[in-house]
Amino acid sequence: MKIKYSKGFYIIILAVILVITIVPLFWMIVLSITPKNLLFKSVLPVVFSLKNYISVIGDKKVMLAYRNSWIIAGSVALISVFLGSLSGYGLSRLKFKFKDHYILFILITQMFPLTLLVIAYFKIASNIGLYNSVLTLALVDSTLTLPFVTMLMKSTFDSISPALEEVAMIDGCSRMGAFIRISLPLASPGLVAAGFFAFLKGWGEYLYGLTLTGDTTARPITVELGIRLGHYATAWGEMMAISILMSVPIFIMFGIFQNNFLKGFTTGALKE
Amino acid sequence: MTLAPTFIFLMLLAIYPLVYALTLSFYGEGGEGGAHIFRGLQNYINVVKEENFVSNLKHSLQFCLFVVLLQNILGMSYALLLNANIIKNKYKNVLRAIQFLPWLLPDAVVACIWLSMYLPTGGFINTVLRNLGLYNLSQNWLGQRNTVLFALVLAESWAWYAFFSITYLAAMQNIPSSLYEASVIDGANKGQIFFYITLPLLKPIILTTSTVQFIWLFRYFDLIWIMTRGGPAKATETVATQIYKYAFFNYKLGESSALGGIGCIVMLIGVIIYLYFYNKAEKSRG
Repeated sequence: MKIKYSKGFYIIILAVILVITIVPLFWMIVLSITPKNLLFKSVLPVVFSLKNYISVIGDKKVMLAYRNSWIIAGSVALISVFLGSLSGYGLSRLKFKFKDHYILFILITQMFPLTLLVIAYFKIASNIGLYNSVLTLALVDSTLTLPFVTMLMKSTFDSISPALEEVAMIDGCSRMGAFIRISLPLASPGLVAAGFFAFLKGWGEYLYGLTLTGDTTARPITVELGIRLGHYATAWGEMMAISILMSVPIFIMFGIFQNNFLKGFTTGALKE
Repeated sequence: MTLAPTFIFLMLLAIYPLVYALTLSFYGEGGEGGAHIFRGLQNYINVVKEENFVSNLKHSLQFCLFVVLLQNILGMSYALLLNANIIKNKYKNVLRAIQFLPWLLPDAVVACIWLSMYLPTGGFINTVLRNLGLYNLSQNWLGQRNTVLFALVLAESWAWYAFFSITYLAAMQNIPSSLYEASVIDGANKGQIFFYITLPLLKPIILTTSTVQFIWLFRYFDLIWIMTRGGPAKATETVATQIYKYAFFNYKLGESSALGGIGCIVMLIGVIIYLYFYNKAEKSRG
């Protein structure tokens, strides 16, 4: 009797959390397929229309910003994985005096107020002519991901036995050769998790995009959506269509990389 | 030296800009022809004297505290459910993935969704309340002082509770099952097991995760900015949005970076608390 009661209790709580989680996503989809004249008539879908999607895809500004976001997020992933696997490898394999300080240093860089940093980024980028450039955004966004990626790669390399590299080195491989031929392939689940994490951060970044871009040359889609939320706050259908365009790629990637990602994420998070 | 590139990268793109911005906090316009002159602590004094300084700080701390609390409740509940043996494993994987869907979304999308959820007329929440006949519960969630902060807290917690849930779940799975078996033999019920075994063993990870999240939220800008711009009537103005407004609306870079410097001090206190909890957790782990 007692067990039954607690099982029902569990299922009610689970249902509540699931409803809270899913309803807003459902609402995003409903609004995106509802044409303007039928918006907000009901909380359930009344029609299925692709009008909003068509108008959004035909909108040059949206498409340029969308392209910028792909470039920025892709670059952030590449930069973070490249630098992060080097430093993660070093932290995992090398013994040196200031190791704890190094870790503390990279973690501390995650603790600065972003709106303070952005003042400096804005002034420096303007001074050296890198204002309104996707390169600038790729670089500054990478500062947000590199510390976590480093720690994630460190724990990945920690889980790979150094003995394998030593064998390769006895067989005549250099340290770098052993790293590239032996450890890196074995670390690929961690690399994938790190790359996905970095992509996700670059894809969703808003503040730096807002302050370091002036027009669609470099403006990411997050900022474009933010501007529209201020200006055309009635075109909800179109804004939800943009939101869907921003969500689908990362949902698909998550679907593919889920297992790697969750594994890497929890080991990284637990050790952090 | 595989460690050098990351070090140089972060020195150039995180430490140098920080020092640069903090230097600005001691300078201001006021020299001849608008030249920059050293003003000592004048910018800091101006910022602290500003009438909204205390309330902005309060909003920041309230936002952090409530979000961390709600995320802990949601995350812990979800982790307990996923850890319990009442759900079949194949469903567990689906449930584990679903919680990540909001977490994956860019803040701009989260803001877009919740702005439309909270719309006074036609918004999801008010429409549902009205259909249930609860007319007096429906209100302008983002338009009034007493609901707006909690409206933001709910949106942010929705987006990020998975971070807590997945961390706690991993920690729960590290608890040796012999502890549970022993307590069942001793006749403990589920509530007792949770409060006397699971919770004390999770305490270190709860404290460290919550502190990290607190620090991150203190510097948080995106969702608040897109959803309310700090309004209505400064009801959600935080330290982060105020720094931004000083710099990009009032063009007072000195004041802006001075407030940022004060923000750094608050975060430094957070980091010290984090390190204290972290070292304690490391010790208890052996």
